[in-house]
Amino acid sequence: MNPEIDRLLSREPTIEPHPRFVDRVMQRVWREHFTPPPIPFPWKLFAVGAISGIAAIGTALANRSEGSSAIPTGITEMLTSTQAGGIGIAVASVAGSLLIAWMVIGLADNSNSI
Amino acid sequence: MDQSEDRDREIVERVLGGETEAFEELVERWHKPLISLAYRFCQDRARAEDMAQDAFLHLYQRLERWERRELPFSSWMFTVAANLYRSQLRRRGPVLTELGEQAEQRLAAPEQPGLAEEERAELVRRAVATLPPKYRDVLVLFYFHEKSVTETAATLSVREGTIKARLHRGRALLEKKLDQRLSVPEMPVEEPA
Repeated sequence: MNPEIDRLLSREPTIEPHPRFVDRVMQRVWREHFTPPPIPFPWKLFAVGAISGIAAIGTALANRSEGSSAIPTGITEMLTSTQAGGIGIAVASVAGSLLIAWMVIGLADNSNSI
Repeated sequence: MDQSEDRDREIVERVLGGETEAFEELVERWHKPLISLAYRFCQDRARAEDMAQDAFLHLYQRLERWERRELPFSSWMFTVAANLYRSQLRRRGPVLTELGEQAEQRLAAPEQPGLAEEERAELVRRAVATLPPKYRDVLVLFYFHEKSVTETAATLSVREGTIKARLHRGRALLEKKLDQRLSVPEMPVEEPA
């Protein structure tokens, strides 16, 4: 390499930081220190809710195909009474999702109040 | 472990123990090198200070991660800062893409009496800043780490062989960019009386 380029690159740039640089950094550090940490999304509770919902729907569908009435009659009727059984399943899925969302929002509110 | 490393560890332990004000000493100790490193990357003084401020905040938020590692605080700090600077330049774009006509003219006349040494060094650093990132990063860190391939490789988490290859290619690109313009003017030989 050109020794002149090598020599010039080895020179430390002469920069005089702003006199208040350290103060500015510390202002940001203090702001960070006093900012409460963000509330993490309750993934564990969400997972429990989602798995329960999926399990409930799965059970309902399995029972429906076996003709059993182990699940509440109302739901069974809703699932079987419609001409296209798919609509009942869709409605049940939406209801399950709304229930889970409602639980999550409620839990998040409780965490905020704490 | 030398005294400086001991001091860094002591300060970090105090900060992690709840004495946030102790972080100020770390900033006092390291702000010049961190600004200098940022400046080598971006070639803009104001932007270098902003980047260094972000780096300190980033370090403050991650101090616990260093405590679990077995490397000196300064090595970890430079790695974190260099990675942050590189990602900021990727996101916001480099300040320089070309040397510029004025810089070209100034480089073309190294013997120009008004052109100070520091000014010439700055023009060469500007040329480095216009290189493709993988060569720019290696050249910046190599000279920042006082020509240590090992430290450059550690900072970039790349093998030493890769660093050497990129240094070779980066230097060739830089020389091509600067051409013969930085040749040292020959000193006049005094005639014997």
